[in-house]
Amino acid sequence: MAAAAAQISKKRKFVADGVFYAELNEFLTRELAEDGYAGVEVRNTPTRTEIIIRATHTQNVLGEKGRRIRELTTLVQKRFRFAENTVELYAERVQNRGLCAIAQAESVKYKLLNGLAVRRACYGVVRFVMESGAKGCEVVVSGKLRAARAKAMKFGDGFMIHSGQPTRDFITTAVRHVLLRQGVLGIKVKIMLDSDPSGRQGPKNPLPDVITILEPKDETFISEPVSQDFGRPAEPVAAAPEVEAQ
Amino acid sequence: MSKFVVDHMEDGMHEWCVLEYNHMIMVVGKENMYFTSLSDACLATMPEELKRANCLKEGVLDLPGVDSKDICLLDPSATEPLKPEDADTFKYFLFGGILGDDPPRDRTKELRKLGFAGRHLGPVQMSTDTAVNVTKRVVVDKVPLDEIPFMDNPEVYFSKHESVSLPFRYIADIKEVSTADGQKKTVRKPIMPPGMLQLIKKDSERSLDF
Repeated sequence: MAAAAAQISKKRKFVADGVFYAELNEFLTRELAEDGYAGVEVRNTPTRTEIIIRATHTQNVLGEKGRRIRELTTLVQKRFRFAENTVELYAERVQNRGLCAIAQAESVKYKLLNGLAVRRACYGVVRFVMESGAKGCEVVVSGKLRAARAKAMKFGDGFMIHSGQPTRDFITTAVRHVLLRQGVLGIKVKIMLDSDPSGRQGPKNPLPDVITILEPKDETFISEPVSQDFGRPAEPVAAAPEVEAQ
Repeated sequence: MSKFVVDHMEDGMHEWCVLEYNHMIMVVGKENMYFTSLSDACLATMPEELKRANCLKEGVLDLPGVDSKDICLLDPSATEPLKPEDADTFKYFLFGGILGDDPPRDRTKELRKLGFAGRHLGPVQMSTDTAVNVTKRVVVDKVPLDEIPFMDNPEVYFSKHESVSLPFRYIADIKEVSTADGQKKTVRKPIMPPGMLQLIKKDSERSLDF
C-alpha cells in the first residue's frame, strides 16, 4: 500500500490489495466482535485511503469522543506504514442487522457464551431474522457437548435454496467458533434475503424461477379497419381512410 | 459364544452411556456383556438394569481368566475388516466406551497401546452400541460386513423447524410401508437405543459448560 512510491506491477498490486483487505478484516473481526462488526470496505483515492467499518453498535466503535476510532486509525497507519493523514476510518451503522449473517452469528456466539440454552439462543435468532424480513434462515450449531456424542443441531424457518447462482445473490453466510474446554463448537448462520427492487435489503432481481403473470391490457375497440405504417410515426386516424381510398 | 467387552473411558456414567449400554445388553444378552474400568462413582450411580451384566472395576488387562491373545479390539484404524471367521480366532471383542467427536479424536489409541489385535468395521465412526450390534451380526449371525445395511449421517427431524444430524454410521432398519395413496415405499431408519431420540432432543435445551 505505502509502496506506491515504487512502481509495482498490476498483478502484485491486486494481490497486495487483497492481502491488505484480508488482514484488516481479520483484525477488525477480532477487535470489534462485541460491537457487531459486519464488514469493511476499502476505498482508494489518490490522496487518501478510506476505510469504512460497518457495525451495529457504531457508538462503541467510535468510543468516547472518537477516541477508539482514532486509536484504530493510528494502529492501521503504523502497521501498514501509511504516511501521515493518508488513511481515514469511518464507522457506518448496518441498516438492518437482522439480515446480516455475521452480526447474527456473533449474537448466537455471545448468547451461548453467556449460558443460554442452545435451543433458546438459536430460535431467538431465527425469529429475529424472520421478523426483519428475510425469506428464510438456518442456524446450525455443531460439535460435541459434554456427556454427549458429536452432533449438528439445526434450527430453521422459511425458505432456503442451496444451489446455483441465486445462492450467491440471495444468501449470506457466517461461521463462528466457540472454544470450549473439550473442543470447538461451530456456529453457522445462513440467511436468505428477499428480493428488494430498491436494492437496499436484497438483490434487485427476483429469483429466476419466479414467474409473474401480468393482467392482459385493455383492448381498444376497433370500429373500422385501420392501417398503420410502422416505418414512420403512426398517422392520425383521419388520414388513414384517405390512404385506403387510393 | 463370543463375549463383548466395553472399556468405559468417559468420566462418569452419563445418560447417553446408560442408554447405549442397555441397548447392548438387549442385543447380545447380559451374560455375554462385560463393562470394565468402571470407577466407584460409576458403580454407585449405575442403574440396576446395567448391573445385571458383568460390571467390573478392573481394566481390560486385569480381567480374571482372560488371555490378551483372545481379545480383538475393534479399532477404526486397523488394517483388516472384521470377518465371520474371526469368531474362531477371538473369544472376546473389545470396544472403547467413548462418546465420540467429529472428526474423531482417536481415543481408541488408549486401548490400542495395550497391544491387542485389531479389526475395523468400516471407515465411518459408529456409536458403541452400533459397533457391538455390527460385531454380533458378523461373528455370531455370520453375516459378512458388506452385507449389513448401513446408513451414514442420518438426520432426525423433531419438528418442521428443528433437526439434528448425527455424523456416525448406523445400521439401517428397512421397512416397506404403504403410503396414503396405496403406493409401496421403502423407509430406512437408523437403529438407535430406545429413548435416545428423546435424549437428543433434550440435549438442545442444555447450555454450554466451560
